Amino acid sequence: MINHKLNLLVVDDDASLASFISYALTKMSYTPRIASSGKEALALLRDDPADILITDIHMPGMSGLELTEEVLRIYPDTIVIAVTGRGDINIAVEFMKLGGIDFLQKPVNVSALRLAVGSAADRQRLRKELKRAEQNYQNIWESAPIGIYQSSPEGRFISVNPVLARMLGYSSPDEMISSVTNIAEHLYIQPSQRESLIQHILEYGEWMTIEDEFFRKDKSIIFAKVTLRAALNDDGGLLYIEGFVEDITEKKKQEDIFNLEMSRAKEIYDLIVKPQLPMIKGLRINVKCLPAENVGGDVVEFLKISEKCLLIFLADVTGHGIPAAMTANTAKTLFREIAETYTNPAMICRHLNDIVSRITLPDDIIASFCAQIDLEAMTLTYCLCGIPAPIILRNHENICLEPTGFPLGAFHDAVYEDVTLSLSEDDLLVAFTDGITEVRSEKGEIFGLNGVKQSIGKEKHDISSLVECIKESAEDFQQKHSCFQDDVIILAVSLFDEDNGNTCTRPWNRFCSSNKYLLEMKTRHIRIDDVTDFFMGHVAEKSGLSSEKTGKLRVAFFEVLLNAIEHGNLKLTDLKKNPEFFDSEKYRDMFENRMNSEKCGDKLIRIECQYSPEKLEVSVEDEGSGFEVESISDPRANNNISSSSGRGIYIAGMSVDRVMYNATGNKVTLTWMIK
Amino acid sequence: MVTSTERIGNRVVVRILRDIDDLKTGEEFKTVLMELYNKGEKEIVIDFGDTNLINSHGIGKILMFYRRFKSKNGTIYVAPLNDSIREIFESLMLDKLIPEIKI
Repeated sequence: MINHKLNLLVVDDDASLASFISYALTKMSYTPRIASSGKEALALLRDDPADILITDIHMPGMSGLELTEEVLRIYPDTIVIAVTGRGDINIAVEFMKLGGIDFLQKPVNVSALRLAVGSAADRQRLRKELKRAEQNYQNIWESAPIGIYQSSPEGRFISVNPVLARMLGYSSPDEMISSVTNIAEHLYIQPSQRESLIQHILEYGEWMTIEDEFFRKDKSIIFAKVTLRAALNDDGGLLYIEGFVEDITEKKKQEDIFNLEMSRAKEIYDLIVKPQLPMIKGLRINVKCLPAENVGGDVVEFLKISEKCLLIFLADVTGHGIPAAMTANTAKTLFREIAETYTNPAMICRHLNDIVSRITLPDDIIASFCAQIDLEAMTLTYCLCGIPAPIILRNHENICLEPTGFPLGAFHDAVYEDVTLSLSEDDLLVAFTDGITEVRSEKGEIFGLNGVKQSIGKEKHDISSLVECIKESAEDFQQKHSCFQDDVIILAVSLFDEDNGNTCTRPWNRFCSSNKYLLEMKTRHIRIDDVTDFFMGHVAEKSGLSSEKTGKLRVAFFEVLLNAIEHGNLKLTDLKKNPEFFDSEKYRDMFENRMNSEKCGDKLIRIECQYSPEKLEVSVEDEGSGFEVESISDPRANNNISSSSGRGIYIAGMSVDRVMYNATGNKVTLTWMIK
Repeated sequence: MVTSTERIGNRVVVRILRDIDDLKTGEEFKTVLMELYNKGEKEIVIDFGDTNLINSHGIGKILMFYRRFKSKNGTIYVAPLNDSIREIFESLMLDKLIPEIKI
C-alpha cells in the first residue's frame, strides 16, 4: 500500500497536553498541527481538512462534542479521536454516537495514543484506497470506449454506462433504463433470441461473445459484439446478466463489402481461369487449377491455330490473391490478342514482354511457358521463361525442357528466342507452375523438379492419371491434402494416333478447378458405364460423400448421358420408337456403326459440373439437333416410365431435385441438393 | 527480420534468414535492398544461407534491384547456392545474370 502522508490536527485548550500529544505524534513521524479551541480548529480545517482529528472534550466555548459534530458534518471522512477525563463514560458514548471512532482517557498514555492513531491511520488509508478504487471504477464506467451493462433476467436494465446509452441512441443511462422495459422486445431483432441466449450462457458458464444485430432507440440497426456472462447467487440461481458491448457496425459493413467484392472477384477469376479446351484430332488436354486463395495468379490457355496445331500458354504472376489475379487476367487477355496476329512462341513472348514491362509493377514478374504443338510437322516449339521445366514423357524416357528466356516483365529489352523439338507419337507433355515444385515437407525439404520427376517415375502414364499422380505425390510429400501454399496449375497434353486404334485411355479433354469440373469427349470414345464411374468417382472425392449418398445422382447422370448419346449425337430417337427394332441385334449394330462413324462418332459430349457447398449442378450437352422443349410433356409424368422415349428423363427427374433444358434442347442440367 | 547485413571490405553481404515466400517478407526484403541502393553501395552479395526456397515474391525484388543497381554500375553476386535455390535460379535464368562468389 502506498504510504500517503496523513494530515493530523490536535485540539486542546491545555497547551501542555496539546504539545505532549503533538510531540508523541512527531515521534511517529507525523507533522500535526495544533489548535487551542474549536473555533481555531475549524478555521485551520477550512484551509486544509485533516484526516485525523484528536480533540479534547472539555474545552471552553465550543466543546469537543460540538466540534466533532460540526467537523463530521462538513468533512464526513475525518476520523475523530476524543480525549476525555477519567470516568466520562457517558460523554464517550455520546461521542461515539456522533461518529467518533476512538477515545483516549486522561492522563494520555503514549502507547494508547500510538495504538489509537495507528489504527485510525490504517482505517483512513483503507478508506482512501477504497475511494480511489471506486473513482477508478467510476472513470471506467463513465468513459471506457465500450458499452457496459447489467440486466435482469426478466429483461430490464439494472445499470448501463453512458457509452452504451449513447451507442443505442438514448440521451442518458437513466433514459435508457426507464424506457427499455423489455429488452427482448425493444432491442432484439428476434425477441425469442434473448431467452435462448440466456439459456446458452447459463449452460456455457463463462464469458461468451456473440456478434449480432440489435435495434437502437429509433429502430435503426446496430451490429454489435457483446461479451456477456451470467452472475449467479450462491445456489446457482441467475441474479443478473452483465456484459460489454462494442459497436462493430462500420467494421461489419467494410467486411461485407470486402466479402462481396471477393466473391465477385472469385466469379470473375473462375471465368478467367477456365481455358478453352479445343478438340484437335490426335491431341487431348487435361488441366488442374488449384488457387491458394479464392483467386490466384496462375492462368492457362489453349488456342487451336488449325486442325493440326495447338498453342499453349501457361503463366504464373508474382504472388496470389487479387493483385496477382488482376495481372494474370491481363496476361491471358494479351496472349489471346497477340496470338491472333502471331502464332510462334518467340514472337508472342516478345510482344507480351514489351507490354507487360510497361503495365506491371517493377517488382512483379510473369513466369511463362508458351508452346506450339504442330501435328503436321510433329514438332514442339516453345519459349520457357521462368516456369519450372515442363517434361515430355516418351516411352521410358523423360525429357526436361530447357529455359529459353527471362520471366516476362523482368527486362523490357530482353530477347526471346524459341526452341524446336521433334515430337513422337504417344508423347505426353506435362507442365506445372512453381506451386508444385515449392511444396515443402514437414522437415522443410523442397519437393522441387526432382520430386515431380520421381513421382512420374519410369512407368507408362496416360493423360488422365498423370496430372493426378503429380498432384497426389506433392500432397503426400507435404503430408497435407488438397491445400497448397501457392497457386497451382498442372497441365498435360497427350499425342495419340486417333485413327489406328485407341492407344490412349480415356482420350478426353478435362478441366478441374476448385469448384468446376469439365469433361469433353468424342462420342466414339465413350463407354457409358466407364464415363459414369469416372465422373461419379470425381463427385465422391470432391464432395466427400459416399457412393450410397450419391447413388441417385448416378442414376440421373447415367440416363441423361445415355439420352445425349442415343437421342442427341447418334440420332436414334425414331429407331427407338419401334420396340421390336429396339430389342433386335440390328439396333445394337446400328448403335455401334453410328458410334464409330465420322458423322456421329466425332460429335462431342460436354459434361460440366459446378460445385457449391449446398448443391451440385451437372450439365450434359450433346451436338445433336435437340428437341422442341415447349412440345414435350412434363418429364415427371408417370406414363413416361412405360413409354419408349422420355423414360430416361423421367427417371432422372425422380432422382434429382431439378432437371432443366436449354432452349435448343441439347443440354440438360441436373441440380442435386447436398443433404 | 528477413535478412541481416554485414560489410566485408567493399562488399555488403545480405544474408537471408528465412524464406521469402509471401507479400510481407517480400516487402521487407525490398526495403533492405532499396536502402543499400539508396546508400550508393557498389557491391552486394546475397547469401541464401540455409533457406531453400525463394519464390516469385523474392525473385521479383531481386530482378528489380538488379536493374536499378546495374544502371548505377553496381555489381551483384550470390554466395554459393544450395541445390534447391540453384534449381530455382536456373529455371529463371538468374544464374546467367548473377554470378556466384565465395565470401
